[in-house]
Amino acid sequence: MLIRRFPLFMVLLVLGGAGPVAATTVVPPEFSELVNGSDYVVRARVIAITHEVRTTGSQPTPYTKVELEVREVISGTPPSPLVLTLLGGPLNGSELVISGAPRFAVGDEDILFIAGNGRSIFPLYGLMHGRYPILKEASTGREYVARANGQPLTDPAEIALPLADGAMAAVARRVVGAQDALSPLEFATRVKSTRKPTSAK
Amino acid sequence: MNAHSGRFKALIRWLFAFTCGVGALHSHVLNTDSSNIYVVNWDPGKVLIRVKLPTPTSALIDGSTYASSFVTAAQSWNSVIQVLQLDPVIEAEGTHVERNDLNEIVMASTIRGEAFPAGVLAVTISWRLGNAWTESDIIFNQTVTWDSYRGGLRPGIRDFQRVAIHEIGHLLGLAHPDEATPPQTVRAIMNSTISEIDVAQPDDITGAQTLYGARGSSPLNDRFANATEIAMITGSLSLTGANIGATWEAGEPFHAGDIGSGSAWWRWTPPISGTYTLTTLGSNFDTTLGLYTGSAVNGLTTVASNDDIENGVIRTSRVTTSVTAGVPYMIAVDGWSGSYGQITLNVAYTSDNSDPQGRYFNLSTNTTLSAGEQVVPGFVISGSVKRKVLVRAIGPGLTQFGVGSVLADPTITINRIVNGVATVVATNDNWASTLAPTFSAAGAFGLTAGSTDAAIEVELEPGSYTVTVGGNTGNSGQVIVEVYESNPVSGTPGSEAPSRFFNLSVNTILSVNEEVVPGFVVEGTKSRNVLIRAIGPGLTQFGVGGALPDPTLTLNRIVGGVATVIGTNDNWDSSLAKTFADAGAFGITAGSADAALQVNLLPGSYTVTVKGKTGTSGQVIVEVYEAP
Repeated sequence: MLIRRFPLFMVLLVLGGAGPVAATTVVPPEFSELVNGSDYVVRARVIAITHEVRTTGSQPTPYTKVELEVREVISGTPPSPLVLTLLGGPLNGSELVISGAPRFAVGDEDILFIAGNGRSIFPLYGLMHGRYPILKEASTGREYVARANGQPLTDPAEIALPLADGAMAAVARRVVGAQDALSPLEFATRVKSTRKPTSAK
Repeated sequence: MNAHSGRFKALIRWLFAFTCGVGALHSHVLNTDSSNIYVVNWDPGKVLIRVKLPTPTSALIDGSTYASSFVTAAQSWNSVIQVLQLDPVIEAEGTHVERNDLNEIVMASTIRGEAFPAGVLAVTISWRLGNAWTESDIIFNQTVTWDSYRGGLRPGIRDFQRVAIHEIGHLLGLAHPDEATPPQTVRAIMNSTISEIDVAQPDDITGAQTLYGARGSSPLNDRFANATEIAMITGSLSLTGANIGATWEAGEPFHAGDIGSGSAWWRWTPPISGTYTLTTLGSNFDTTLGLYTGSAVNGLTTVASNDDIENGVIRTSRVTTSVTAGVPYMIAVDGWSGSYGQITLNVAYTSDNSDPQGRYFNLSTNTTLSAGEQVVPGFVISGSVKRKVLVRAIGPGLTQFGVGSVLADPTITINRIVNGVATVVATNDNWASTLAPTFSAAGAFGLTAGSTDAAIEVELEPGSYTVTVGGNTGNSGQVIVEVYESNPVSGTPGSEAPSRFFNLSVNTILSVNEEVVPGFVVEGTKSRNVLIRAIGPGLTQFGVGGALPDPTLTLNRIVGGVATVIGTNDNWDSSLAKTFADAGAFGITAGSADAALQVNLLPGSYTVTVKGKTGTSGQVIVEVYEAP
């Protein structure tokens, strides 16, 4: 191989991959901060992931574009189509990686709290705290809302807890699993009731 | 299964899954390439880091500057890792430039003119080429109020140093353990959120050492002469190691034709001849694998070698080859073109539970009966055709082996079990001398003609059977019960295949300090997955009173009359529940004190020693199943 530790298949994998893997230190937001700090909140499914290179001056920088199919606008007014632009991705055989940023895959369905799309290196409010996967109970097929690590979200107050602490809190409350988690409708309702009128933001 | 027991089992399954999902996994997470398998790390050596941080406008709480605080953070990682050392150099305040192959540490309010996401204190932006990092820049959020202090978080003031330790962890290749799926709770500075943790925790350090080795360490089996000896007593085994910091020796072959990075060596002498498969599946980097004969590193003969299992996709390695028992082979695992990491080396004798030549051939149990007591081994014949079976209960015949107190006159009753109902199929008190050739053909030891031992050969339909053995006229003593696959109805043993022993069991009552030692033989040329259980408490569901409360089992392989322990178990692991179901074994309550072991066995002779914990007695059933 011409390039040390860089087989050709890596080029293919990177080109077809899901974008940046995620390095960050984050302060978890309060639920009201999350809701009111976001430009808009949507339930959406990832339908495509592409990469592009933007050149500023003489410096090319890779970006990952995540195209979303919006299934429900929970708050705010998102553009149509809605495409998230994230810093990171492949460039001439290398890959730019932002450690700690959530990773998307085609088919993922989430409730997303979007802030600064096109203006921020990663347009989710609080990075992983701005993404809530919609999962299904294996036994009943019921949809429920989880935190970014798959932990069932049983109360919006858990959002202010670190991810690991949220899991511990669930144990402390003797949560028995996904059946106690909020449904997407319940979560959306809580978002709507917490959202302040635009003029009051 | 009734609805109640189904719900109960579901609850148990859930409890187990929940426990594992939340509490049991405590582990660092490493950044990988898009395979999610192979780690990304720095080439060994020094990594120059340009610290271009501003000078604080006032003294920081711990007396440091941002730059010196960062250097301290870097040094804390240096103190625990081996093949990589960070080399922070303090420069004038400046900005970072991406993709200039320089590692720059700066403070800024934006990144490329774009904002930090809300709540983000710092970001590490890294470039990788293949599986090697080539550049990492760390940008601290200038809009945050920073200081540098130890201990609990101070309201509104962020501790620069703990954030620096976290971000340097990313630079090394560590990810956020609290973002792992399924969720896990780990005490780590690498968790995504800032907390009272102000230094790298054991889990963080383990993660860094997984990538770069522990300070002061090097692989014990780096050099050919120090190869780790593989002792293979089961049909398969997995070993772990690393080639982090390993070196190339003069005259060492290029494994799989690649220049490598440095190899780790194992020495292996196969216990039996045959076809084996060696893999590095489970290793976290792109490996090469070589199998050799020879006694000097510069004089090896290649037996087999491999780079990728699937070229460029499954980048671990695999060779399948015939080897000879007793011959020492040398195994080298290296990294492709500079890769290095944690090695898993798997060695497996070709395993095939469907192989008609590979089957249980014989079951025996050796026990001492009190007056009126019985021992009841059982077996199952699978398939669709009849099978001839030789059953023996040897008492007097044991005296030729120096056994003293033997059961003077054992008797045999063979029962077929259908829907829980036993029907007598055959009985014997004293064996007929006409069976002597059958003994010889089955490989059973001979008996004195006219002895009061019992033996009978019967032709049995596929199904479940028990053999009840007791003493005539109330006598007591030691007896061995044996069940052999005799000549099949047609052809040679195993050749017609569709029927064979499937499950062997012994049901007995143990007195205090007594043990039961059933044995079995695995025949053929392939290894077999076997499930062995000693059930005491689990018998209560069938109405058995006086069950042995806490059985233990020890599995021995017998070679040349010498027993080698290859597995033990006291209380079974609940993860075996699915294996029980798949093998057709009845279920037992999770967490019970029954014993069970799943193991892959080479062809050969085995015994299972089962006894109760000190001072206990009661009924126990010992079972040997073919496991999936």
